[in-house]
Amino acid sequence: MSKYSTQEMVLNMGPHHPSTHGVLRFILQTDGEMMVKATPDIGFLHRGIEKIAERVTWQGFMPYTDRIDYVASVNCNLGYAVAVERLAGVAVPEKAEYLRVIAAELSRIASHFIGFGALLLDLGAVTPFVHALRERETFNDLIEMLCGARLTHNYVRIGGVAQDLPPGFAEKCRAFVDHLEYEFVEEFNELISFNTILINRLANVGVISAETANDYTLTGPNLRASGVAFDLRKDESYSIYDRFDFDIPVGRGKYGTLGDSYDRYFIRIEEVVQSCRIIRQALDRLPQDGEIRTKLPKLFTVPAGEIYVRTECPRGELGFYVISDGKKNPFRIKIRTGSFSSMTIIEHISQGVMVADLVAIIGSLDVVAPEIDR
Amino acid sequence: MYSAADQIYKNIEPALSGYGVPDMVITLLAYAVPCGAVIGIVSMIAGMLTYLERKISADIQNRVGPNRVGPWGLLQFPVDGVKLLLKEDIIPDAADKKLFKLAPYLVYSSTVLASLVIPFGGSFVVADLNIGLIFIIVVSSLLVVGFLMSGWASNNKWALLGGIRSAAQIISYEIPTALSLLTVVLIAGTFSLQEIVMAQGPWPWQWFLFHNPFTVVAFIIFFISGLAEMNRTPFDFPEAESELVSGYNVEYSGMRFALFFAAEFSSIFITAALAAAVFLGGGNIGRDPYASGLGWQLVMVAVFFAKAAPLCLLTIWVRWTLPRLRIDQMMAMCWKYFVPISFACLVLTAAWMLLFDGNGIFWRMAKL
Amino acid sequence: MNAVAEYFRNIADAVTTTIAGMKITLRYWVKEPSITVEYPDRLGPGKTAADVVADRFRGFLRLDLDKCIGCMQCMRACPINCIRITVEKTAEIRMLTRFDVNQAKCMYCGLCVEECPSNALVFSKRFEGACFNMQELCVRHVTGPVPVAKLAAVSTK
Repeated sequence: MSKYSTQEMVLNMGPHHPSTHGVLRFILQTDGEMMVKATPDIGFLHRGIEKIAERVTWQGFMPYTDRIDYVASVNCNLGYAVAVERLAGVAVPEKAEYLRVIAAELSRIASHFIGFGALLLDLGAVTPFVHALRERETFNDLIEMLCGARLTHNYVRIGGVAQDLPPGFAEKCRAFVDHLEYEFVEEFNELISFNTILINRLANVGVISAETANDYTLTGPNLRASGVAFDLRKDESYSIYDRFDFDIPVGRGKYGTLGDSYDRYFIRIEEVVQSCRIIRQALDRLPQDGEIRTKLPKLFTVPAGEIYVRTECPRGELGFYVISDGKKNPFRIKIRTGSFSSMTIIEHISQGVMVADLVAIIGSLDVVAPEIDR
Repeated sequence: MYSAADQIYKNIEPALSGYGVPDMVITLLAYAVPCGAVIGIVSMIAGMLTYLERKISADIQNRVGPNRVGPWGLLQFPVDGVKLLLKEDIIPDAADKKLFKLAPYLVYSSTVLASLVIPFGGSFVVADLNIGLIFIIVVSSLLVVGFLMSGWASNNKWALLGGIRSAAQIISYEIPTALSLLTVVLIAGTFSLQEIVMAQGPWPWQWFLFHNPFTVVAFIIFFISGLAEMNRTPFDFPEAESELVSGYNVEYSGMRFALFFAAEFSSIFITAALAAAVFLGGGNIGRDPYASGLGWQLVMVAVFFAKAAPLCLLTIWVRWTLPRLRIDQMMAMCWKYFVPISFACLVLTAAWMLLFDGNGIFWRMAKL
Repeated sequence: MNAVAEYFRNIADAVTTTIAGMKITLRYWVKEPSITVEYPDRLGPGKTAADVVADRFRGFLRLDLDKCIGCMQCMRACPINCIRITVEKTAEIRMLTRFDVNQAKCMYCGLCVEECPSNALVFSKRFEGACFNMQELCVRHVTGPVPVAKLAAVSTK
């Protein structure tokens, strides 16, 4: 029989493959449909953002933070702004904080739409993906009204935000979150979330226990799906998140094991609802008058020193380690992103699954390629 | 046994032999005309289905769909066909060239062959074989050879995986398909499709679908297995776009790709047509198809298409609702659910035939 | 017995959830209208591309030469140096001899527009920049020497 011994097939999944979001490459060792090992190969989208930071001004680095995770630009803007403000001791006006929260939570909703929408697309369900993108379209219109761009928003500034709410924004935004919370999520769940085929595809696939998640420094929704109720908005509150009343959704293992792909999928839908709650509260309490931006000196410098600030991005913890030597540009900026740790765990949990499951795992971890490489 | 070729031969033979045309040419002509007509009609319908699929998916997803070529984009599919014809035909260097070229024709011919025995209503059937159902089942298995061949010959790992998947899938789902068709054969007592149609009636209670509760189940199983056999979502493993990039046809381009595509959409129609003929009474309007005039025959054709079209739409509708299964779940679904249930349907229908002397639930109404 | 119950429950689940999903898709199929904006040729009667974007849209940069005071704040604010300005001083009067914006490089971040003290540099709604040569996207706002405005003469923010 040794004459007919089989050998493992090495498959290159990527860098251009429909289900590796962005430019990502996996080297798969497969035994037919079963996978022996999946090794991620990253670096295709390295743009040297951290190095660029060293030659642009403090304010001038803001547009580059858009490009860290272009699906959730405002959240990245916010993380950088909070880091620089804490280091420089810049106070942020009350109204600007509310505007930041509204924009960041809208951005989180839009990012989650891409997140689970793309997962569903990878699983062959095209209609729910397009429905999610249709709702994202409303978000795009809103953010275009607010700051003039649909993709790389560059809305937050050091010491405030770029622009005040345009007329009609509050009503439109309220209608949008009401539609999401009361109509869309229910319909979407009925259309796809509770579908038996989807549950079969996601439940018990790619199970990450709480310990493993901690070992691989998973953060954000992926960590919470493993049952750890850790959300930086609550546990290490930045901006004004401590003033809002919202819950931290955690994985429950509804249809399978705690921390499986279904938990990671469903937690994002639940977070959309929580973000809607935050936006509604923020719109209610938004001060009518007041500054939206602290006046900074023409040549803005940050006192020498260093700081690490982490914020809750839709893909997990977004940490900015900022060193200043007192000049007009940063001395060094190190960015820590959620997708990078999500990426490292794929090799661990993809042993012995099928090729189709790997697609589900990548999708459920909501990896965005530019965020891995920066 | 009825054959359109025979009829044509009888009609044209006296006229043509007068001009000294050899008998063999007349015979070939008599066969070529209905075959060409069926290929043309089925390809036309396949083209319309591609248009419908794009339009319906657009409607479901709040989009517009094709709307630039012709009114409502109706001319999109001929334009696409022309475009594919003009595309460069790429054959990879490392491919097994002969098999690579042969595979699309095998796949396409299997669907076209199946359409030869479909009764389109009235006397419009190319050949009413007395083993019609078996012929369809046998011929549709030819699809596997084509898929496997294209997957192997492409010399591409994704294509190979797709080819192997399709082999596993189509061979497995042949069994529930055949078994659910057999329940009807039990009732009708014949394999000939035309006779199966004639054994039913124009009214719903005379259809084999409502003959007894088990035929309803058999119809559902036939329809779902049909989805699996023609590689439609939720069973589109061989070409699972997000997993295998494009599966067995990943290396194909131009007209060869178009043949795969046409075969896929033709088989949607053929499965729907088969279901309409076997379970829904086909083009039966209560008249003898061979003795009626042309007007009545056209009514029968209209009735047949009116039954087949909703099934085609249902196929498209299902695709744009459901996600894809995983390959092992698909196999489990076949062997754990469909095969036992279709066996049970077969046995229970046989028991029903014995118990009620061959009458259906609505037999009193059916006798009227 | 449990296994048998589960077997039939699985079938029931699959059927009911599929029907629930198909009901929703049917509703969209027959009822819900398309939300697609058919850019560029079917935007609606009398509408142009500029009408479909928001008021604050960040399109091509537009320079009002009557207002420009030649302070070069925009040039300094630009993170990617896509603005080039030259101001020449002759005797008493300062002349603007060059104001180039490389729209091909521009990332439309809006930092220059915010810095402009006299509102001379603003965003237009134009976004259709397709051209055959990259050089065409380098917009030269100043063709000949232009005297710069005085800050006091123009309305400030």
